[in-house]
Order: sequence, then C-alpha cells, then structure tokens
Amino acid sequence: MTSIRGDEVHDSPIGGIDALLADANPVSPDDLKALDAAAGFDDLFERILAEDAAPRAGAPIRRRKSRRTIASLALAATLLVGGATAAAAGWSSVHTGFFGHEGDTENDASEFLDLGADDAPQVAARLAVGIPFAPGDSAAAYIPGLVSGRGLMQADGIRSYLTSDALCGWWGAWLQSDREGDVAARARATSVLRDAPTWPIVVQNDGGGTVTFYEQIAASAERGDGAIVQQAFTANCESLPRNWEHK
Amino acid sequence: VSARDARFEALYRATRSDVLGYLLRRTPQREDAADLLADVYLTAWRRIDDVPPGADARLWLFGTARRTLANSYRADAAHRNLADRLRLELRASDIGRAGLDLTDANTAALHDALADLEPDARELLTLTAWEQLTAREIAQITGDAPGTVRVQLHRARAQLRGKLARLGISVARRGDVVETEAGFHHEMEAAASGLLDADRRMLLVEPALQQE
Repeated sequence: MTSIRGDEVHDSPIGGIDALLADANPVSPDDLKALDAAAGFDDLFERILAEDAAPRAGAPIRRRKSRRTIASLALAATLLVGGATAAAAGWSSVHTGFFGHEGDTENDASEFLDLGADDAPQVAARLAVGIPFAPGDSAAAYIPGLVSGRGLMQADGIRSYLTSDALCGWWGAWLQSDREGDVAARARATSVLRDAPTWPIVVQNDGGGTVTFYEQIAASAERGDGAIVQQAFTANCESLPRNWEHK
Repeated sequence: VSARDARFEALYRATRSDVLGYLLRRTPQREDAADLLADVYLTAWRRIDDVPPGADARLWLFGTARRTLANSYRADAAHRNLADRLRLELRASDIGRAGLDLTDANTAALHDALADLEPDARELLTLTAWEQLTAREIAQITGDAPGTVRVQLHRARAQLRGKLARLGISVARRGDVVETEAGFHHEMEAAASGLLDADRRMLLVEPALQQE
C-alpha cells in the first residue's frame, strides 16, 4: 500500500490540490480575455437597458445603436463558423455569419439576421415580397416595429412575423367592412382568411396550433360571425398600425 | 446618461468576463451561459442601487450568478432572447470544456473526482481554484463566516484527495515524505526509483507560495 504522508495542504488560495485544480480549469483566464471583445457583450448590454427602460418610459422598446468596435468585429470574425460579419465604420450589415443548426426545434439552418443592423429594413422589405396585405396596408407599416430591438431572427421568422401582421390587417379590414356593410370588401377579406391556414409560411412554422387558430377565424368569418375575428384582433393586433382603415 | 446608467455600464464592462467564466465552468452547454449571464445582469441592472461599491460588487455578482444557476436552468432572460448574439458566439467558439484536454489521464481523473464531490464542497474548491477567490471572499458570496469557509475548504480538499486516491492518484507536495512498501522515502526518490506501485501515479505540485 502506497500512501502519502506530509504536511496537509493548507488553506492558501494557491498551492497543493488547488494548483492541480487550477491547471484543470475548463475555461482559462486567457480564453475569457479573448472573448471579452465579443460583439455579443455589447448587444446584451444594450438590450438589458432597453428591456427595463421601455416599461418605465411607457414607450415601445427601442434598441440603441450597438457600439460595435473594430476589435469586437475582429473577434467575431474569428469566432464565426464560415461567416463574415460585413461591417464598415458607421454602417452595419444584417448578415451575422451565424447559422442555425439542423435538428434544433426553434430554428432552421439559415443565417440569423441582425434586426438592429442598418440594412435590416431593406432586407425585411425584400423578404416581405409575396405576403398579401390588405388594401391600404403594406409591409412598410410593420417593419419599423419588427426591427426595433428584436435582436436576431432568421428569414423565415421575419416572413412569419410580417405574415402575422398582414393577417392582423385582414382581420381589421374584415371587421371594418362588416361594420360598414361593404359586402365586396368583406368577401375579399374572407377569401384571404380562408386561404391563410394553407400558406406555406404558416404551415411550416406551425408549432403550437397556429393553423387551427387561423382555421377557426376563417370559419367564423365565413359564417359572418365577427366575434372570434374581433377576439383575435383585440388579442393580437390592437397596438399595430391601422393603414387598412384608410383603404 | 444618468449616473445609474454609468455605474451599471462600468460594472458590466469590468466584470462580465469573470461572471461569464463562472457560468461557463458550471454549465454543461456553454451557450446557455449567455442566457444566465443576461439574467445576472438584468438583476444587477434592476437592483443597481443595492449592488455594493468597489470590489464587493464583483462578489455580489458571483452570488447572484450562483443563485441564478441554482434556481433556474432556463434563465428568465432566455425567454426574451436578450443574449441571443452572445449565445451564438459562444456556440461557435471553442471556449469551455471543449478546450480542456480530458484525454490527459490526470485531468480527466481530477474532473471525475470533482464531479463525485458534494456540490457545496465542489463549489468551494472551484471558487478557490478557478475564480481565485479567498476564503473571506467566498464567505461573502455564501453568507457563511470566513472561519467556517476555511474549515469547509479544508474538508473539501481532504475529500477530493481521497477521491483521487481511489482513482489511483496521490497528491504530494515537494518535500513530502512518501511511505511505500519499502519504507519511507522522500517523494522525489520514491518517484525516481519506481517505489510507487506501477498502477499508481503521484502528482507533484509546488508548495504554496502565498498565504491568504
């Protein structure tokens, strides 16, 4: 039997078994020092402030411009897998170089886009092409809300977000035409609501009964019963722009 | 920028890496450390007037991080995706356990022994060795008396040494006397002359250089 006899390792912060543990530190101080310039730190800081400031001010959360530095971009470029963070002084790109992982439940494998970037509104407008908006309504009404303090989102997430906004417009248009007795406008809105549960962007992102929800609203609209349409509008759309009111 | 904002920003910039390191070392999925970090600093931001001044602020944050880890694996901030960018950066990086050479037998054995300890003992040892905190500082985080922490640390080290011994690793410091089946030997002599059992290893470490 071999044993060790000698002074007990004392309580000093280094030395003895502590030194062995320090050698086995899974995250070294050097690694942390290198990571300290990560752009994500600045982004998190801005969003923490925005998270708390908005309710106090009673205003929508508005993300302040992220203070991206050359150093943080250089580090991001080092960290990113096969991506390039396109940015120049004073201008930032929606492209982050971060891609989702196959098999994740909350995202696909496409690139995460930075909604706080300077070109985010233009990119969102391009992604909105093909989404049917109610007469008088358009993606332009909703994009400012989309890009305001919402961090990273994939292309399908942006389309899905704007599709929901578009449907809010159609629900509003249906309710308005119903009130005004505009039969043609109500029939047009009913037709769109009937198709909505089959739209590819709705079907592929249906993880929690969205299709069923839209089907119930469509059925309600077809019956001429505005109660459920109104309920959906009140619950989801009250704070959104109402350009469809001025068709 | 208000004084409150400025104080939080200074605190955040001075401590964010240390707190992230603490969370990374204790989180199986390194990207989850980003969400936990968001929760810690969201708490700090909302309670900035309660955060103590000076160096104690860092300890306050470690205490908050410790409670965040204990109370909620999925941090509150995760639901708001506050740290999504940092989360992705961490996922893309090699930082954390992926960078540790667990193929090294001694390192792997040490982590096995550490994982086998009671959580409180493991926390004391790692706060000392990885966060480089003294017993007095740990006492501030845990709310115990410094003397109690020293006793607990002493016991934790003994427990870890025992676990390592069962894994075939003895821990000696230079100058220790080693008892083998052939008698007592200076550790250097025992190691050099092969007096230790073939299946046992002895790790030699420098004596303590610094007292608390």
